[in-house]
Amino acid sequence: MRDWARPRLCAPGVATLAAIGSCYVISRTTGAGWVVVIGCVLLAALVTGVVQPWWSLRHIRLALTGPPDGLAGAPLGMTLTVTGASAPLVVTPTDPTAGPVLVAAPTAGTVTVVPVRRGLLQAVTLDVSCSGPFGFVTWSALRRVPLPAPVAVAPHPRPGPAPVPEGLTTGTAFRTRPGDGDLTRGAREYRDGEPIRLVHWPATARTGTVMVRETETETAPRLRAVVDLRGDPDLAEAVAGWAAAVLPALLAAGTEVELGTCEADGPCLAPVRNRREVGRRLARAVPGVPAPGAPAGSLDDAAVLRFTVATLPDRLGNPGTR
Amino acid sequence: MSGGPEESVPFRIAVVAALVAAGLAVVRETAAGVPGLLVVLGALPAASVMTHVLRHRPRRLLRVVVAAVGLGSVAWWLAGFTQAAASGVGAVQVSLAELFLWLQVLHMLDQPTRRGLMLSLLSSLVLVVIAAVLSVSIDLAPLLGAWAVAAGTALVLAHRAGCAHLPRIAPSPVPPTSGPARRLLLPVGVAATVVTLAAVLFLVAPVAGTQRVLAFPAELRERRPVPVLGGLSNPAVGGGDAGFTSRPGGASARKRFGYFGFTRELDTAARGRPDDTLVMRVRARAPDFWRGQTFDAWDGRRWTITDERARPVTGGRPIVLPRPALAGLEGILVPTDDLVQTFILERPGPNIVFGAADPRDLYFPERRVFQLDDGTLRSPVELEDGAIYTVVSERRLVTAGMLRAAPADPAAVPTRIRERYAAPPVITPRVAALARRVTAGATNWYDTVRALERHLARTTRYSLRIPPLPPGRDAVDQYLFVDRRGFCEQIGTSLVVMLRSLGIPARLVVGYVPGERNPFTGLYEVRARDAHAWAEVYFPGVGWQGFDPTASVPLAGDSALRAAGAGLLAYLDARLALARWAPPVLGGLAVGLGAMLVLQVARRLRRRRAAGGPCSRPLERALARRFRARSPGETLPAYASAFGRVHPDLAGPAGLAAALCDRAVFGPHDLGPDERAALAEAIATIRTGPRVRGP
Repeated sequence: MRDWARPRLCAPGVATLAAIGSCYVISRTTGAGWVVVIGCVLLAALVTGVVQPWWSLRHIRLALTGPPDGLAGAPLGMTLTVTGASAPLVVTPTDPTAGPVLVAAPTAGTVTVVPVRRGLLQAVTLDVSCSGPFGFVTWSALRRVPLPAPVAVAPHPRPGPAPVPEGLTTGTAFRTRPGDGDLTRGAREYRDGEPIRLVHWPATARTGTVMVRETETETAPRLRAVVDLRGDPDLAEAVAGWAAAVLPALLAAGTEVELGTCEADGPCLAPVRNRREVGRRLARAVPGVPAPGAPAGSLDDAAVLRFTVATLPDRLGNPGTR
Repeated sequence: MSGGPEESVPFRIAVVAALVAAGLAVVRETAAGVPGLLVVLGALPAASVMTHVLRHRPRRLLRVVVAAVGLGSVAWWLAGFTQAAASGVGAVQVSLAELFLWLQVLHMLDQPTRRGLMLSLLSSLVLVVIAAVLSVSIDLAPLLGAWAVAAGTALVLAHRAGCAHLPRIAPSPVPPTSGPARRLLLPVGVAATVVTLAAVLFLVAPVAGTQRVLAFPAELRERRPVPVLGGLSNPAVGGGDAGFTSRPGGASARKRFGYFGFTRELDTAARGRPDDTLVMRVRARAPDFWRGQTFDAWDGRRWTITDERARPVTGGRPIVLPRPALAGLEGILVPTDDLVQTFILERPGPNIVFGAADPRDLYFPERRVFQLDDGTLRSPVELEDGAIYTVVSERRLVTAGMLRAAPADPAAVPTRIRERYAAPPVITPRVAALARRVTAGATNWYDTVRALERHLARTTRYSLRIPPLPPGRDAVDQYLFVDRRGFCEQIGTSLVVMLRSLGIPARLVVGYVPGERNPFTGLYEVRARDAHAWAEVYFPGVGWQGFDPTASVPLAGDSALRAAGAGLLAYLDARLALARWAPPVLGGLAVGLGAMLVLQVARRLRRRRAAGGPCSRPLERALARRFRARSPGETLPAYASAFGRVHPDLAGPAGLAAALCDRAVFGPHDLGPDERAALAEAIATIRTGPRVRGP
């Protein structure tokens, strides 16, 4: 990080420097006192034009605030506050990137950055340059401006087919649950205390034993999504984008999703309810062993979707499946 | 359309203003007159308007025409170059400046781009420098100031216009306070810094030199031969000049700036007092006596020149001057340096060629001058106002130590010098006795001179009002024992006469003291009242050395100027009466600045105390009730932002309130009534808004 300011001599500065040298030579050879005066004025202007922007860069204060969520590749508006008087500054966000904006401090306003990768945006790097008031020298410095609260940058969704749930192959995925539902699941023998309206008379007649209807209720589909970002970083990002496209679609379809990832402080397994939560969880995800894929907890009957580099579809960039 | 600086009308106006100011300076210095004014005030702005209006149209034909006219102008100038060169460097400079000015007009016709405008700005600098080289007076200052302001403004506007294509930061709902006063702070501060820094640099900048590579200026506006070739002519003294014959239409009376010393005899009893008329300017890197001529014969009242035979000295540029017969410089090994002096005459004067001691080269508009045995130079033509000539003197870098070390032995003095300048003078016995008594303790000639100078300073006083010299009285005796007051002629004469009575070779020299140095032009402004008479003493092994108890001209070895701005305050004081109004004004400024500083510190302290006080505390309480306590080190906007993420419906009021509190604490001004009302309303909204459970 280049925090110290670096100067770059501009064309007017070069011309002024040459003019000062010329004035010196002319004054030495002609004895013209006025040329000394002009040289002194030029030198004073040059010194002021060099020191003033450096001074401005040293003394301005930058602060940035942003929204809690962002999306990789999508513009993200952040409020930039610049305090301290200075000549016009050119502020260019470099990480994440954005085009240069002109800032006349003191001021506050919105700069739009475009985070290119998912993750937690803790700080923004700004290339701040100043060449005012005369444009003799451009001083520029990189400033890393920490955000008061990190911005969770969700991966850009990469639509693709949902990975085949493990639960469907092992028979652990159920769409219904025994209980007080409207659907008749089967018949069984009567137990003491059961209401008489449950008696299934045809079966009772057939078997000679009092039989009752067994009902079931239709439940929402339950899935456990495991996002494993180990492997090639680019492919891992594609995996995250894949999950970011699939999981919100499942949630929209009414599926209950429990998301297992690996975060900076260890594996994390927790339900997600909407696209924003999916995005935040994926933003925090890092390469590592995700939360265990085996059914556990309240969703012990869930199927498991595994989003890994190995299961990444071909068209999302997985070279191993071609 | 590029939208660059070339589209900026203010930038273009500033460039044209700089060019016009520079052009006016050139016109003033080259005396270009009405045609020059028309070019600068008419053609330049018109060309600029035209090029701005037509900047997006094809200009192929215009470029061809401009190029043709430009080439024609250069060809025309080259055709006249030989004639101009024959008239001297000055004429070439002037014609070059005029050509350059004309080319600027042509260039202005075709400058649709930023580069062209910046080139014009640079050209304006070249023009100003040309004017500065040609200028010899303070009158350039207003135009130089106007150019500096215009050029600085143009640079700032060019820089701003260069950034104008960048998108500006989208303003937030609550922009920080930045009133007109605060916006003015930066440009005013920058201007004040530049002026102050320039003044400081000027005070320490090296003094302008005079080491020309090509040739020194030498001009004559009008060539009018003197009545007697090789003789002395001084129209300024009219009938008082023995060699002067009245011309038809010319005044025969002495001019108010005429000095009787620049004639064939000097009557110490009758000296008119020249006034403040500026008679000439001298460009030199160090002050010195501008010697005119010497007198060797004293009759008790008048000085005359014994041998006025002048021999012609011819040459080119320069005229190499032979060593005068009475210079006494043979075998002298004192270190020397060259002192170049350019004399610019402002009034008609004597045909004496002035210069510091021991002139070696003379750049003169004529190819012949006349030299006397004592080194006095006379021009064959009248030296009217506007005449310019340059003298290169080989100054001996004499110090007091060298003079003390010189042998105090009359036998060591060359015979011709001893016979002419050390012979017993016309003197009264009590003056001779006084000289012996005063110098009794001196062991060398330098201390002898200094002892006499000290005695004169102690027992007499300088005065321009002296009683008439009674008939038959010795002027030196009258001055030393009766009147005890006198001016340079009496003082210099007394010194010479007493030295001669002690056998020390001495002579009276008339000329000018250096005059007041104008620190801006670097020229010594010599006025009529600077006409002066002083003594020259011959030291064996060193040569002639000037002494003067009434003028403070340092010895050559100690006279180097250290900085270009030397004497700036004294010069300004003489014109602006700084001594009268500067103390109260500077005192008032200091008191005002001190009071501002105290107020600023007090306000900062108050705000610092108030940072956690009445303004932000209610907001913090309201946020803590609904959210959490503010973390240590967490700024108020960050705190409000974190709150807004949890309570999106209250994010707006929280952000607004935090921004207002921040501004109240750190901004330049207190909150206004509207802002205070908005703050109270935002805090109330946070307090009464719907409760939302936090994480």
